[in-house]
Amino acid sequence: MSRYVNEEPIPMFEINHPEPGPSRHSHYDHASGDSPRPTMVVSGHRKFNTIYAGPQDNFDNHADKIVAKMEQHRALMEDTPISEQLRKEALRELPQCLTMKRCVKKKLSKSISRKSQRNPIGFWKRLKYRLSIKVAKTRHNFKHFNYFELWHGTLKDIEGHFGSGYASYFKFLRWLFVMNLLVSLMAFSLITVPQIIYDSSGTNGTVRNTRHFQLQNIFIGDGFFKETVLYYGHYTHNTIALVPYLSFYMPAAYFSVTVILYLLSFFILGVSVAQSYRRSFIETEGGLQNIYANKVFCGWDYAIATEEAAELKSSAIYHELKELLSESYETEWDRSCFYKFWTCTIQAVVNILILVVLVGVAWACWSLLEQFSFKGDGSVLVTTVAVNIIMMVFPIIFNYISKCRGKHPESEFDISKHTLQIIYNQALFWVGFLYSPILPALVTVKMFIIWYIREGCVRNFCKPPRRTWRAAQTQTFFMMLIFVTLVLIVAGHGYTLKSISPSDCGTFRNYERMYQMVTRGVANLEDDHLVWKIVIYITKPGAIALIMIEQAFAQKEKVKMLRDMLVWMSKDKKFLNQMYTKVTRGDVIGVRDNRFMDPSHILPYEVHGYSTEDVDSN
Amino acid sequence: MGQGKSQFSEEELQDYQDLTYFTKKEVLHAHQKFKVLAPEKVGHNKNAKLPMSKMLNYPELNVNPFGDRICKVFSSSRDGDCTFEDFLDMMSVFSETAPKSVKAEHAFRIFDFDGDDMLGASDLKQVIERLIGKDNHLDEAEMEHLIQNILEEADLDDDGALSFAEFEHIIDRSSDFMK
Repeated sequence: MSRYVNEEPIPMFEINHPEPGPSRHSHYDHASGDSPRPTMVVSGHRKFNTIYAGPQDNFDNHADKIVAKMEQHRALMEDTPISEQLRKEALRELPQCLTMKRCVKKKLSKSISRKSQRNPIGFWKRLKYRLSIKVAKTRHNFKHFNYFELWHGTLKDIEGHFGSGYASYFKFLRWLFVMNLLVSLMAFSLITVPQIIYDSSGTNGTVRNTRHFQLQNIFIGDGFFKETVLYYGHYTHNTIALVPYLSFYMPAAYFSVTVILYLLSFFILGVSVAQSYRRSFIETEGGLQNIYANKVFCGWDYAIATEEAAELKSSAIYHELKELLSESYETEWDRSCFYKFWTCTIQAVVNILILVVLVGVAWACWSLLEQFSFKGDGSVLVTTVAVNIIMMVFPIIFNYISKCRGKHPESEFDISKHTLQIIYNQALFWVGFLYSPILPALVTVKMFIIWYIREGCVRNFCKPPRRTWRAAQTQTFFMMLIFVTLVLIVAGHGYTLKSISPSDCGTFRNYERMYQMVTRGVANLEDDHLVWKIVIYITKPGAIALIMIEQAFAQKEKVKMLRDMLVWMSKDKKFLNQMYTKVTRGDVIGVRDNRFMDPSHILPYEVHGYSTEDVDSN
Repeated sequence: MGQGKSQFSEEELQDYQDLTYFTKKEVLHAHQKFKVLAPEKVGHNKNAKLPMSKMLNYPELNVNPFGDRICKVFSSSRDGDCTFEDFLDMMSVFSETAPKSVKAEHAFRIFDFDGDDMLGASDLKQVIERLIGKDNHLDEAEMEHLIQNILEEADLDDDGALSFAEFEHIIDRSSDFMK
C-alpha cells in the first residue's frame, strides 16, 4: 500500500497474459474505473500463468497491454511527484517479473513525458509537490529509523541456524540497546558534561572529592563515589557559565532532560505496544481460528539456512500437526465436565500458591531493606544478595510447578526467561535514571556485553528449538509488560517529584518540592496562585482516573466496532468470492445486471464452461 | 562495494530501488550474494542466467522444502533458471518490507504445484509432505483428515479447492507469515 501519499491504497492490476494453449480461464480486469482517486479493489482475482519462453515481440506486446491498462487511471498518469510515487507503488505490487516491470516503467515514462508536453504544470505547483514529498519521506525515514545495520550479520546467522524464535529475543535486545544508547548519550551530554566542566573549572563553591577511593566502594557505590557525577547529590544547584555570556541553570537542565527522556520513552513504547497489539491481535481475530491452514501455510520459517535447523523445523511441524490431529480425536472423558472442573481447580490452586509466594518474597525484601539499608557499609549488600538468590532460585521452583500442571517448560535457549531478565534490567535503568544520570551509560554498556555473552551461549551451548515459537503474540506480551513497568515507574517518580522534599545535597536543594523547579524557576507561579490551583485540581488522581476510565471505555467500544467491521468485511468478501467463483465456472448464465460487480467489468456471458476469450477487447 | 557499484549504472540502480522493496545498498548487497553462486559467470555478465541447480546452492533455498518451486515461480522463463533480476525480485518479496498481499500472491503460486490456479487436494498433499520432511510420514487416513480440516477451515465456496481469494483470506488473518 502507498506509504508516501496519505496512506491511500492503489488499485491492484489484473493483467491478462497471452496464452497460446486453449482451455484456460479467462481473466477479469478489476481496475476500478476512471475515478480520479485510486480506490481499493477486492483483490485476489489474479491469474499469473505467465510464459515468456516465447519470442521477443510477445514480451513487448504484453508490456504494451499492461501500460494501456495503467493509462486508464488518471491519477497515475500525471506528471507530479505524487503521481510518480503512486506509479512506483503500483509497479512494485504488480505480479510480474522484474524485467517486465522495467519495460513497463520505461514505456510509462515515455507516455507520460509525451502527455506532459501538452499541459505542463506550473513552477509553484511543482515546488509544492516536491516539498510535500520530501516531508513525507523524512517522516517515513524517521518512523523506520534504520538501526537494522547494527549486528545485522550476527542476527542473520542466528536466524539461519536456530530460526526466528531465538532471533526475536536478539531483535528485542537490540531495540532496547539502541533506545538506551540514545537516552544515555543525551543525558551524558546535557547533564554530566556541564557538571564536569563546572567541577574542573574550579570556581568557588566546588568541593574537591574529600574521600579516598577504596576497593569495597565498587560493590556498594558508597564512599568515594558519593561525590562523583555518579549520583544526583553531587550535581550543583548553581548556574554554570559554559561559554562566556551563555549561562546554564543546572536544576532546570536536570529536571527537563530527565522528564523529557522519560516521557519520550513512554511515548515510543506506547506507540510500539499499540502497533504490535494491532498487528497480532486485532487484525487476526474476529471469527474462526484457522489452526490447520495456518500451520500448513504459515508454518515454515523462511529464514532458516542450515540442514540441522531445517530438519528440526520439519520435525516440529510434523509433531504439531500430529498433536492437532490427535486433539481432534478426543475421547468422551476428555470433554466431560468433571475433567474440566478438575483442571480449573488445579489451575486456580497453583495460581494462588504462586501469588502467595510472590507476596511473601516482596514482604521479605521490604523488611530486609528497612532493617539494613541505613546503617553503615556492608550490610546494605544483604538485600542485594537476597534479591539475587531469589531471582535464581524461584524460577526453578516455578518451572517445576508448571511441569506438574502438564505444561512443557521451554527447553534449549529459554527465550522467556532471558527476555524477562532484560525487562528487569530495563526496569532498574528507569528506576535509577532520575537519581543517577550516568546509570544509562552503565546499563547500555551492560547490555552490549550481554549481547555478546548470549550470542556465544546460543552458538556454543544451545540446540535449535523443538517447538514452534509464536513470535508475534509473545512479542506483544513482552512489549506490554515492559510498557506497564515503565508506567508504574513513571508514576512512582511522579509521586517523588510532587511530594518528597529533596535532600540537602543535589541540584534541587533550594526547592521544597522538585516540581517547583518548573513552577517557580520558570513560570514564577507561587503556591496560592489561581492558575496553579486549577492545575492542582485537574491533576488530582481522581480527576485523572475519571478521564482515563472514560477514555478506556471509549477505546474499548472503538476496538469492538473495528473488530466487528473486520468480521463483516470478511463475510462480504466470502459472499463476493462465492459469487465470483460461481460466475467463473459458468454457473451463472448471462449476468447482465452488474449488481455485484464493478460496472466496468467485461463479463463473458457464455453458457458452456470456460471462456478462452481475450478480455482485452476493452 | 565500490567494485559492485561500477557494474551497475545509476539508472539501473534507481530502477531497482523503485521497483523492489530494497534500497540501492541492499540491491548491491544482493548482487554480491548472487555472485557467490557462480562467480565466473556473473563476473562476465552481471545479469547472467543461472541454472536452477546453481540457484539451489543459496543456503536459504537449499534447505527450504519449496526451494525448487520458489525458483520456478520467480524465474522469468518459468523453468527454474534465474537471472539476477529474478533473484532480486525473489529477495524483495521475501524481505520484511514487502506487504502481505505481495507475499500471499507469490506463496499461492509456490504452493500451486499443478498450476491450475487452485490449491486442490493434490496440491495440499504435496505441500504437507514437503513440510514434514522426508523422514516423517503421515499415513493415508491422517493425511486425508488433515486435508479435510484445512478445506473445512478455508474453502468458503465448498468446491474442494482453495482459490486465491480464499488463500489470501487466511493469510490476512495470520500474524506470522513468511517473515
